[in-house]
Amino acid sequence: MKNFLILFALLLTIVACKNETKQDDTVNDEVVTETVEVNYKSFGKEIVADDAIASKSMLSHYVDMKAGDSIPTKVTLKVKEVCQNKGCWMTADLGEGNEVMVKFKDYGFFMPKNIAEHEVIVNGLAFVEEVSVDEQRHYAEDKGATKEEIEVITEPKRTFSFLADGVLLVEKQ
Amino acid sequence: MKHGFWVIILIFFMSCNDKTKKDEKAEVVYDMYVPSEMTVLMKELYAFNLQLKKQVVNDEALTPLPEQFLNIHTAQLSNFKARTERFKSFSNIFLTAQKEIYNTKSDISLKDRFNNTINTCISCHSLECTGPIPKIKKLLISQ
Repeated sequence: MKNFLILFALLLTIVACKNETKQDDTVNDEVVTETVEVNYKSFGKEIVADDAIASKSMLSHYVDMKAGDSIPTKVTLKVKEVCQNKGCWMTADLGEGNEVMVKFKDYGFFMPKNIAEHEVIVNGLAFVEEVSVDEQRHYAEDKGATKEEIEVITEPKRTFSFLADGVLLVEKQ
Repeated sequence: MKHGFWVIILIFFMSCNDKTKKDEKAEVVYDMYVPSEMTVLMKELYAFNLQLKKQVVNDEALTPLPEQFLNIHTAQLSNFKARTERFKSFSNIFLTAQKEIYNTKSDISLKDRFNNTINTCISCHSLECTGPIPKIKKLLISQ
């Protein structure tokens, strides 16, 4: 009788575990077919996620722009780096080895310092500018560059820039 | 032997509890900048000079200079900034210019005295922290 009880208990455990695995498989299948839930954390002016263009399209606009040109737009970007002092600027990938420097209107809001590789939607003004040596060196300092790395910067640089009045940080669940 | 049965049942329920814990989602913690005393003082300076600009433009009586702005020499800077000799020198130049706005015996016009003050801010920021410059430039009174 005792042996029978133990055997029954073991069988119960194995069957229960098996069922749990099956349930997990079912849940996984469902997740694949479900739409991923997306939340947005808002910074600066409240904006909506609709109608944002892809970074690739933005790059084609930037390539055609001259220094001083600007266009109002909304674009989805993947963050590369954020100012590690204040979060007062960030760079983002535009594809094909290009990046955009994003700053925030009127220094009015900052972004979290730990959002590298996160997706964001930025709304504002895209423009091309010549960034001075002093300013490039300042950004290098913010990134934690060494004295030698900073001294290598000796020429103004044509830069794809973006002045954002509102940013949505994409939080995928 | 009977104990063995109950031990197996207990392990079974404990394993169920563990699974519930694993399902809980990890909360994201964002690393936001915490403003330093100097950052707060700079924001107050900006708000004060914006008010002063309107008074100068509208030829109204000027609000007296708050004593707290003398704290620019002692306000704690953000962790990544050092109070360099250059910064101390710019702080003195700025305060002298800001006080000069109230010098009614000056040969320089009130608008120019105000703009000189704002230009000292821009000069310092161009070497210390370029980010707020576009915002500061908006304080300048067009001639």
